Amino acid sequence: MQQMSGTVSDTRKAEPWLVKNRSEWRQVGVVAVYWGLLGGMYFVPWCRNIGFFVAACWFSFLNAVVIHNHMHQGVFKSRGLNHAFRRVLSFGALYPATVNIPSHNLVHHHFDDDGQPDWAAPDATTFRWHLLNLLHFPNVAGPNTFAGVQRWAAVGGRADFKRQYLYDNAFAFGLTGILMVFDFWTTLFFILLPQLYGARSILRINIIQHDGCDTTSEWNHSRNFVGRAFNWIMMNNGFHTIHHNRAGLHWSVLDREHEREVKPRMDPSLDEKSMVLYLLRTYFFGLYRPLKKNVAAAEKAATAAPLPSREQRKVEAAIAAEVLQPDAGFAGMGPGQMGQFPTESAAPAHEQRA
Amino acid sequence: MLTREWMGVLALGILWVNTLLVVGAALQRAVALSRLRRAIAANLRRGAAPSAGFASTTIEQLGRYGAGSKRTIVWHDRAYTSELGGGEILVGEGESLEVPRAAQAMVWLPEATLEEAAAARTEQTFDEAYAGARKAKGFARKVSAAVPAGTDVFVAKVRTDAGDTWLVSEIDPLAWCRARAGVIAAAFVPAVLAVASGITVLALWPPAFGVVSIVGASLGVLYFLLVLPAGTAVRDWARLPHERIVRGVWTDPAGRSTPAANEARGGGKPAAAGAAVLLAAALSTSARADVVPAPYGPPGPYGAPVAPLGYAAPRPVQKTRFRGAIGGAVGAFVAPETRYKYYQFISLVEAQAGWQFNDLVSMYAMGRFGFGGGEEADAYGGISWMSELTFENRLFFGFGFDALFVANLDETNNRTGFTPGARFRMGGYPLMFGTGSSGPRRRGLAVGAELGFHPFINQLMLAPTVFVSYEVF
Repeated sequence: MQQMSGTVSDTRKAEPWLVKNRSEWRQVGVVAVYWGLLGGMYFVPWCRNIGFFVAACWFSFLNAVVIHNHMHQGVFKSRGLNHAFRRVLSFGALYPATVNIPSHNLVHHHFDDDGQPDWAAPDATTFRWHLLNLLHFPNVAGPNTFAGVQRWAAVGGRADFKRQYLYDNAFAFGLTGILMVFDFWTTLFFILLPQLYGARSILRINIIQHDGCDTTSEWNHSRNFVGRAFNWIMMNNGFHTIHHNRAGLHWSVLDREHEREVKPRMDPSLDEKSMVLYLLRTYFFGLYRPLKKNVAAAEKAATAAPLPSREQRKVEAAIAAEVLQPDAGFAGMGPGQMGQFPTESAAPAHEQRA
Repeated sequence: MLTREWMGVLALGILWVNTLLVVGAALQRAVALSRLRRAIAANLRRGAAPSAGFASTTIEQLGRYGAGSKRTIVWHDRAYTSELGGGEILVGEGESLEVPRAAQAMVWLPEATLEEAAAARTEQTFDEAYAGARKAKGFARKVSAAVPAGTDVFVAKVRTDAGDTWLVSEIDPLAWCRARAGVIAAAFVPAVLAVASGITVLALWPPAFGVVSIVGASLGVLYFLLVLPAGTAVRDWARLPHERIVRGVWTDPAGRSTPAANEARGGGKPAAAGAAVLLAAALSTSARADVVPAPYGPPGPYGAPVAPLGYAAPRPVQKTRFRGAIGGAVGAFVAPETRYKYYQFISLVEAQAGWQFNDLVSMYAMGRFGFGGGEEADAYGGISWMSELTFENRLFFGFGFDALFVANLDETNNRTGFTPGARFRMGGYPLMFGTGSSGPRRRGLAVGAELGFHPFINQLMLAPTVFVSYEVF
């Protein structure tokens, strides 16, 4: 009996109020803080200082991260609340959250738009001075995305998407416009600039996370930022490889799955401790785009190496166990073919492909 | 405390950094085209294509059924390939050039050729494609066009950073590269810098943060939203002809509607054209309007001309045509130097008439008439001579000269007279109803902003306006 009540209690514990997962409150909190910062700067002149402004820009970026997570898996159990939350998030970034469905979930996750490049492909900008690529990237990826979304929405059966897209836009631009009517300059400087910062930063993260990686590979297509504090506030969005490969995983478990699935299969240079250090090293202290390293070499070599057949492996095992002589003349096996097992680090990649 | 002055500097800094980035990227493209032109010129020869399979280009496309009540297929380009069948080509008296067979090359055909090939269809081919296009994986097809035997072509072995490749072109490749690079360097870049400068002047006009500043800042936000897609539109416009975007939409030659099931799923409902949707559409850079067959047959059941079964469409040529528009504008006519003594809100009716030389370049006269109300009432009438560039059927930039007549309607008459001036104009077409050279005349709803400069009564008057117009171009 005691055991049974314990189970009921556990079930209750596993069923949080309103949200699907208890960790979602962190996302709701981030958005609440962001709105608080914007509201403070709009209504209270004292708040229009550099601290509030910088914080609002940073939280605007986090708001865009929440958009990303929310459009993968809705925060709330209620569909209506999820749609309402989309509007709230859209205002925060001044772009329709719904746009993430085609641009991120369907195109970017596969690095492919039905044969054409991802709308946010890292090589969209080609300046020699790499800092300019970082700065200019949203100027290209943004228009690419909206043009791509327009083409995507022209296909039949996407009326619900278009409706949501319209509602997001109406709320985001409508509310911003109303604020402008009441106080133009405060809205321009303390609402619009943070909104644009967040929207542009989330586009910019694409070049940061994928530039120099091999987007044709299974495990070496992304750069990961694995700092603990960074990932707490970023809702684990630093763990990008596992997110790409298993988009259905909840963000709260990405750190664990990164350790378990990704690390053994990925070039270690794609794990970065700190995004700040990476940005400084790559864009501020380095003048040119770093030479492309073949990060997926081991993975591809493993794939290219044919796994010997079971019969061959049985023969090899027999030789190892000294049951057979190496020169016994095994049909179908050329010299040097035996022992062509994938390297230890690359073997799981092969298994995964199989 | 972050003062308005500091934040203004920050906002203008952001605007200018991004303007220069867009300009830098465009110039980078222009330089690349100039380099390519030099590489082509080094080995360029000319002669007649020896056979039908000498050079061809293919676009792999994927079709999906379109939204709306009409049965349509929306085509998406997947890959572009050009190949050479190889052959000996006569390039002069007794001189020949052996062009090798190559799986990868640059084959440049006239724009209309591929659009024609993409648009050609019969009822039967449409039905087959539509059945596939309704499936999740869509309907895949290849659009191919070849250089006809005997056609005069330009041939060159081109040395590039990526290695040597062969170019076979029906169009003059040097002229093409020169024109694209020239428009970018001599028209797009100066226009962008001029508009950004004009906006900066307005935003900084004394008294700081007054009405003119607000107009300048509002135009700055609009400019920021438009200049970015303008940059990508220029990039797409300058794509090399063998990788030119074709896409297109097939409409059902029989004019049938979508099945009821599609309606039930929402596919048949046209999207509501709210202001935000208009803005998003204006941001689009490379979405092409419908590609429908050239006018080579009688009107079909839904009005558009259709191809007779089994016949290919003739090649449409970009001809000079009439350009016209009618619309309205609202804005202000202000004299910032005298602290807005002559500050008026104005509303105008505007009309255009002139020439559209091709899908890119136009020149036209633009007349306007309206009234201004503020401290006193004035009537305005004027005419402008404008030159305008249109990119990808979506964005336009114009510049021209004005003659404006201002009539003071009150008794003082101290502001009555003519003033010359200059005018910038930019905007987009969120809604397009035609396609231009390869189909029906382009018609579109234009939204945008204008900025007029007029020396008047010994001071510089500014006329910033926003406009909406219906244009045939």
